[in-house]
Amino acid sequence: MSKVNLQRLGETVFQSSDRVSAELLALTYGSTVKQLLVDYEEPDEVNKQLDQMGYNIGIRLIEDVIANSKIYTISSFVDSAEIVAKVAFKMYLGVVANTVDWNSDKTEFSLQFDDNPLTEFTELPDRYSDLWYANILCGIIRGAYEMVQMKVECKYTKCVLRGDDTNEIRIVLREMLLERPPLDDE
Amino acid sequence: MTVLMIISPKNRPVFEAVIPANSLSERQLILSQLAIFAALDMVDEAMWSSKDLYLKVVDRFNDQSVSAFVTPGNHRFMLLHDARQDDGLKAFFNKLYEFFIKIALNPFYDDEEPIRSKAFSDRVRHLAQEYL
Repeated sequence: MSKVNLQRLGETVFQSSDRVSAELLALTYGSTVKQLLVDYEEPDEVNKQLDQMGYNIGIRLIEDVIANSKIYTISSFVDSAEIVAKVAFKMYLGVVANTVDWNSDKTEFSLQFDDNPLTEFTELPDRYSDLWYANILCGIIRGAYEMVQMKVECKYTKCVLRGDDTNEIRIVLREMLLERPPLDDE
Repeated sequence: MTVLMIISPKNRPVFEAVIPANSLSERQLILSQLAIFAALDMVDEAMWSSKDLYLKVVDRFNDQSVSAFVTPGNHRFMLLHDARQDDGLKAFFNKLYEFFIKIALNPFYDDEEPIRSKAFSDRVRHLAQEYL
């Protein structure tokens, strides 16, 4: 499907699905992160926890993405990137991302989005300058990809909260997971 | 010369801005703080006799006035300003209240903690230029 079609599809699914207020989401997420910082103390550790939480969400969420968008075939990594950016982001965050900075092998790209509803009220204090506040998104993307047989690495590279002009997540395809029979399958 | 302070429900000053910046000597600043703290008692009285959050002028200090605005959460915005200034004060406080809500909603802002946000103080200064 072309970019425009995907964008339209994202819009349609977004319109037809139930929504919660952005404030509720932002405040709930904010207090979660805050509590993690209290519990784990180190921003680096919190980044890891957020990623793990996201992963647990992602491996479940992918079913919902596919069922609601009715995209049953994902032919390539390049296609999948557009689906994440135009459909999945729109469905769950209400914003559309752009895929930029592809490498020549088409195995790496960056997801750029200006608005992030999760960060709506947040200002990062200096003592947490190492925190990737919305790191949960990386985990979600990683988990979702894994369920469609693609092992990816996700990393936040730019965050508006840190003074960057946009949000950016770098996604690197490590390998396509092939379905293999178990080794000792008689 | 104008001094703005935000006082928390537990009577701690959480924000202070001198407008224009650095226009006061240390001695003058302490005097202004004193005038504002003294006016807090007036606020406690005045807030019960008004339905509005904006309490207008609650106290006078030499040729200056202290105006106050009380949020429902009992944060008090205190403004020490020249006596004749009056227009724009209400609008100023209302706008300030909007900015303050943003701060209060920040998950990393704890109650009673000083407001350190650079963005907030920039916005307040900008606002002061516009309305005062």
